[in-house]
Amino acid sequence: MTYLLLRFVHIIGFILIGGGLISVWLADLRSRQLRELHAFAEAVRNIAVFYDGLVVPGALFLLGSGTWMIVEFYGGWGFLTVPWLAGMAGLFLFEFVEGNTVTRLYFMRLRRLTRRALESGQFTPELEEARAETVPTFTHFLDLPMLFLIVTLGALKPGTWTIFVVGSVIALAIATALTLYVPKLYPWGSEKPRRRQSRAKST
Amino acid sequence: MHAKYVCVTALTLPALLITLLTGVPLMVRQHLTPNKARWMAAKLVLVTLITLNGVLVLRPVARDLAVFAQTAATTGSRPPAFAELERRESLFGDANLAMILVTIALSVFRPGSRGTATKPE
Repeated sequence: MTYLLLRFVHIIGFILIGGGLISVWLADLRSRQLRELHAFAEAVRNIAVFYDGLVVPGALFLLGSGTWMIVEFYGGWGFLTVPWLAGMAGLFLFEFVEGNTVTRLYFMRLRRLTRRALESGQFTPELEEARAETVPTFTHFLDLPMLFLIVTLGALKPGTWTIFVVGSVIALAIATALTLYVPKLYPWGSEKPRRRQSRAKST
Repeated sequence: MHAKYVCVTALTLPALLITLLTGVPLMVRQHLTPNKARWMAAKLVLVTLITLNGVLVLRPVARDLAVFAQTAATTGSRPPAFAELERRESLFGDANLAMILVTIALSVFRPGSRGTATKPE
């Protein structure tokens, strides 16, 4: 019964984190498209709500139930010899640490800067610069591909490290492509003047 | 509201379709016919209800709410029907959420089934 309960909590955790990350992705994309301050602030607030309301509880559910299952049913540290399980745990740990040290802190800072911009009534240079930062953009775009890789490992349970390695390369490639492409599509901060200059040159 | 409508149309409904398209072959492959496994029959009924609720109720409500919200943004006031639509969305949305939770519980616990795994395979 314990195993079934833990599996149930694990699935609920996955649904919460998956739904939350997809919502964060969409709200972030919307915020990049917007140039009206109040609508932008709403999109940034949505990012924070989805992070704190769905992603964080989902991650805690996964952490708690996953650790319990590993200790009770997979022989504790013995899980390190099982490629799919070690891969899942490693990727989750990476996501958990990266998410709480880079991505979530960045979105909290973005919300703080947006509040200040609302008080001043216009986009501030600090907000524009923060919106254009590359590292948190990359880690944010890495979240969903990593999650899908974790799910793939859990569903297929491969006996070798091939899927882990190939999947990690694909996830990094997708995150890199999105980091390069999306900011060009909706430029912010220091990218805007360069674009304006190139437009001026072409005319 | 428009974003919600886009999410329902582009994410929720395709996800339900994928669930059905993969779930039925899995059921056949595992020889889990509804008349043999009662939990599977209940799950099928619930998935059908969730899909119908999503397609026939929640999607049209989300679409109407998006239109009303657009109108409200230009006129500055919400139409009287807005609150009624929100109430309906809340009611049927919560019903779908509850049915999804029960469906997951049925898939995991498989009540009445002898072959339920009580530890990892």
